[in-house]
This record gives sequence, C-alpha cells and structure tokens, in this order.
Amino acid sequence: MILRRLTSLRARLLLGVIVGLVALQAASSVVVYALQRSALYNRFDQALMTTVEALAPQAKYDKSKGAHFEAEKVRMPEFQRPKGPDYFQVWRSDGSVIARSQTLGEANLPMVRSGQKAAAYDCELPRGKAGRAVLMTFELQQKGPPERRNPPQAVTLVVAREIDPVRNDLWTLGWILAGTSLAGLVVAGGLALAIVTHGLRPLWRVARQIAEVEPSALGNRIDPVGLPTELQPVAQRLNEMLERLYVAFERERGFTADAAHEFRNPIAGIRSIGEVALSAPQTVQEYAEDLRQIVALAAGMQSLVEKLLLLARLDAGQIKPSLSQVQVGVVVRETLASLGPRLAARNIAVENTLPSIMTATADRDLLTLAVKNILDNAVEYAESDGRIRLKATASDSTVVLSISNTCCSMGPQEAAHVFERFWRADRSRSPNGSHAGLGLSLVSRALSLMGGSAEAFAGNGEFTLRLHFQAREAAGGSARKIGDKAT
Amino acid sequence: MRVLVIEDFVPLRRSIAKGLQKAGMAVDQTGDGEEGLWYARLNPYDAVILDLMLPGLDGLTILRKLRAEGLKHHILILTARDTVEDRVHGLDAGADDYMVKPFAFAELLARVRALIRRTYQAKSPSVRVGPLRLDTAKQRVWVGQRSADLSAREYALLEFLVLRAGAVVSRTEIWEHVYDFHSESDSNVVDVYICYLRRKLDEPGKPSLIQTVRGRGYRLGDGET
Repeated sequence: MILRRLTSLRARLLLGVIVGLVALQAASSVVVYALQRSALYNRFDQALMTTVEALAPQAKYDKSKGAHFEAEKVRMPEFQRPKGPDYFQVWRSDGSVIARSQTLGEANLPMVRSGQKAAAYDCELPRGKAGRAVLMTFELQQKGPPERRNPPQAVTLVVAREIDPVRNDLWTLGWILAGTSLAGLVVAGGLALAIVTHGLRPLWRVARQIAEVEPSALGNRIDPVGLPTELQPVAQRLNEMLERLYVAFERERGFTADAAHEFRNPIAGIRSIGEVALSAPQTVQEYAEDLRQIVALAAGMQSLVEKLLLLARLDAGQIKPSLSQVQVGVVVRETLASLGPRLAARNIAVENTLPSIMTATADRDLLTLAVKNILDNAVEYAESDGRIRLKATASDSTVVLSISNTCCSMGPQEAAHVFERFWRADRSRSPNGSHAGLGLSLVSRALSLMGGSAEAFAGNGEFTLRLHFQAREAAGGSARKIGDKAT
Repeated sequence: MRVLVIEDFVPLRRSIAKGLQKAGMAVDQTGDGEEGLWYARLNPYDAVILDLMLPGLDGLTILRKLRAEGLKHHILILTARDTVEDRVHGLDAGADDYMVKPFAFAELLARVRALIRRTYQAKSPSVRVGPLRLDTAKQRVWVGQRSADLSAREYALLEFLVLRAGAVVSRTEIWEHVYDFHSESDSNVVDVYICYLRRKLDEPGKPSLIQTVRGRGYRLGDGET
C-alpha cells in the first residue's frame, strides 16, 4: 500500500530493502534469543537436578522413623550461604513436610503436582525473589526381604535457586542483539541507499537524454551503449517512438512548407496585379480585367484552402462516412455533366461504359468528391482532343471503377507518386493555381475511409486510376465496422 | 529598356509584363523554359526575370546554359523558394539578384532598374547630358529648368540614348532595346519617335540635342564622330 503510494522508484526500493532487512534482523534476533534462553534454562535445570540427585540419598526409610531426611548430613555450602542461597524441601506423599533447608526458615517452596516424577518450573522464593525449582518424586529404599517391607513410601524433593543470574545474562544478550541489529540496519541502509542510487543511475541518464529531445532536436536518440539489459528494451522502444515522431514531424513540416509554397504564387499574382493597376492610370476595361484576374486567383486560393481543410478533417477523422449502397453510374454521370463546358472547350471525348445499375458500398458525398477530383484532373491533364474512359467491373466482393485519360508524358515511376500531397507530374500550374497536387491525396483518403483503396497506373500514353469498393455482399460487416470506428 | 519575363504562372507573368510596360520598358514574356532560353539567346535583353519552377526547362538550367554560352544578361530570379540555400544556389548559378514571391511590385521594378543601370555602368539614377537631366527612378526629364512631358515609349528611347550618351547608336540597337516582339517591325518607327523627342526637348533656334549621324544612327551629346 505504502509502496504503491511512493512515486519515487528509489524510495520504493529503499523502503522495500530496509523493511526486509528489519524483518530479517528481528526474526534472527528472536531465534538467537530463544535458543540461548532455552540453553541457559536447560543448563540451570540440569545443575538443579544434580543438586537434587546429590540430596536424594539423604531421604531414607526405616521402620522406626518411617520416611525421614537426614538434613544434618547435608554439608553443601550452597544451602548455607547468606546471599542467593539454594533451597530444598522434602514432602511425604501425603503432603506432610519431612525437611526443609535452613535457608527456607519456616517458608515453603511451591510444589507442582504434575504426576510426573521430575519437573522444572519457575517459582517465587522467600523474600519475593524469582526462582527456578526442580522437583523429583521417588520411592525410598527399604531394607530387608521384600515380604517384610512396608508398602512403598514416596517422597517429593524440590530444590530451588534464584534465577536472576540467568535472567541478567538474557537481558544482556537482548541488549547486545538489539544494538547490533540497529547498527547493522544503519550500515545496511546506507549501503542499500548507495547501491540503489548507483543502480538507478542509467535511468537518470535515459531521463536526461529524453529531456534533451525537443521539437527542434527530434533527431536525437537514446544511446543504448552501456545501459543495463533491463533498460535496453526501454531505450529501444523509446527510440522507435522517437523515430515515428520524427517522421511525422518532418512530414508535417514538409507539408506546411509545401502549403505555404502553393500560396505564394497566387498571392504574388494578386499583389502584383493590384500594385501594377495602381502604379499608373489605365482604362476601365483594363481595371475590369485586373479585377477578373484577382477574383479568379482568389477562387483558386479558396479551392486550395478548402482542399487543405478537407484533407485535415479527413485525417483527423472529423468526417465520418455513412456507408450505403450508392449508384456509381449516377454519381459519375452527374459529375461529367458539371464538367461539360470544359470538356467541350478542350474537345475531350468521353467513353463511358458504366452499367446503368451498379451499386457499391460508399459514402455518397465522399464518392462524389473522389470522382470529381479524378475527372477534374483528367480534364486538366488530358491533351486537347484527348479521351477520358470510364469502366467498371464487379465481382462478388468488390466493385472496381476505372477512370483513364490520355496524357502524353506520365510514366509508371511518376504514377507511384500521384497520391502524395502537393505532388504534380508537370510543374506547370493551372491558370489560377488551384491544381496544387492535393486532389488525388483526397481521393486516396476518401477511398480508404470508405473501406476501399485507390491505385494509379501510367504508360502507353494513358493515365489510369482504379478505385476499389466493397460490393453489397461483403459490405454489411465491414460497413458496420467502419461505422463503429467512426462513432 | 527591354526585359524578358520567364514565368509560368500566367496571371503573375501578365501582371509583371504590364507593370514593366507601364514603366516604359519593352517586355517579352513566356511561360515555357525552352522558349525562354530561345528568347534570351536571340536578344540582348537589359534584364531577365526568371522563375525557377518552369515546364520544359527549369530556371537554374536556363541560367547555367546562358552563362556557359557566355551571355551576360542581368538576371533576376523570382521564385517561391525562400530558403537561404535556395538563394545561395540561385546566386551561385550566375543570377544577379534574387527575389521571393510574393513581392512588392515597386521593389521588383526598382531592382530591374538597378540591373539596367548596371548594364550601362551607371550608378546614379540621375543622369546629366548637357542641358538634359534624367531621373531614371522617377522617369522624369528636364531640359535646363524646364520639365519635359514624355510618353512611356519616348522616355524609353531617350533613356537608352542617355545611357549610351556620346556614342553613336544604330537604329537596330534602338530597336533591340526599346521595342519588344509585338511592336511593329518598321524601322521608321524609330525615326518617328526621334522626331517626337526633338520636338519636345529642343529649344527653338538651338541645335538639336539628338544628332543624326548619317548612315549610322543617332547620337546624344558630344562624343566621338
């Protein structure tokens, strides 16, 4: 939880490492402490047991005295020393006390009846001292033949001693463990900080290199040399992304430059016509002619702006195709009709073999746009007395509309460029500058939005554009698909 | 002064030609590179305005061919290409000047006039020959204190004579520099205009400023005979 909230990678790693180290240290300290405690208590209990075993022979039985303990024979100094002495007490099995050490005075040692013959337990000693006691219950030896012996007599012997020395040792051990753990943590934390910082250094380097990539320096790349293996794929993906960005930026830059270039000529024309008209008086007819020229140039620029905007909107997906079954022949005939005067003026023959009823999956407006641009170009670039041919073929899944015009100069290599923006086969411009090489880019974009495609061929004095549409049968699914994408 | 305009964008070409003609220049114009080269080879134009992107033959090729053939036309490149590399490229190919579209027509005219002055090694736009004073920038003419009111064609003829002052100028030379291809091909026209000029410039009772050198042509001002 906290790790997730930390935004710094270094802080996350450090916190992870330190928490891990603390847990490890704590666990190992607890284990060491427990083992040591158990060992100390065992040794303590064994020592007490040895004392018990040394005292046990003094518990005796004979017929006259019954079970008794010869306390006066106990000469062990630990039962005599005034400070921190040992204690013992002996009971019969009925609970009556046989003997107790002098150190006990009139007090009793606690006895635990566990049913076991030997036991060790903590207890409270006289004067409130904490102690440890070992208990042993055993049967007294009787002399004589077995049939003359009394029923076996059991006594319970308890020896106790102050536990403070052990406890003190354990306290010291606890402090030592805590101290070393703390010191170890500080040292390990410092080391972890240094290692993590050092380990993350390549990341800062990548970050610095990324920071150096600006729109003006998109050619910069991240140097993968010396980067750790984990960062290599990151650098590679970033470089790939930069490459794509670079290409897009360059294309955009080139596009802007081309667009500006296309406007220079008509603007130069308008300005020059106006300035020349104003430079010296001229006849009314001349003024009128100048104005006509300016209007024509403005119309050309308007058409250029509209094409640019349309292209931008198609690119940005702002124009959503609504696909339906469109009569291709009708659209073509309508467009041809609008071009009638220009066709007649240049004496261009039209050979239209489109079937009267043939539908294709298309957006009517986009199809009209495509056909209009293609025919517009065909009329513009076909030589006088040339010919425009239209035909169509349909299969189960596709409809192919093919529009050709005779033209003298274009070859297959040039045909490969016709869909590029601002590309023109001939550098000469149309009279008002409206043919800027955007028309076929629009056609290609419109076709792909309708789920189709456009191809260009040139050779043998003819330029052909082939438009592929989806036919009715295959159209349903993909039409919905495109519609879904658009919404 | 005779200028050639090679520019394929029709409205612009027509307008430049019209503007130059209004300024008293004789203008030939074409929108085709090959044709432009042919024009330039044929006539000693005082200035050439050259577009770079042309059908047929591009502007830089025309420029290089003209220079390779030793032709010394003063050439101004007029183009939409505006980068420093383009300008350097154009000037290094042998152009005398470089202008980017769109442009102010007055500036184009001034640059063309500057190129023409260079043709005749004249630095100042104001030229004096005897009592005659010409302001080639404003196209004004004075004789002594009196201002003379000349038509564009008359002014063009006088300017050519002034720029060649002291030298005998043949009718053919006048024809080549003052008239374009569309002018009537009648050398009498030159004599007629010389006559108009004398009428407007000469003081009564004084010898004419423009002398006829029999069999050779005309001369303005004193000079070798």
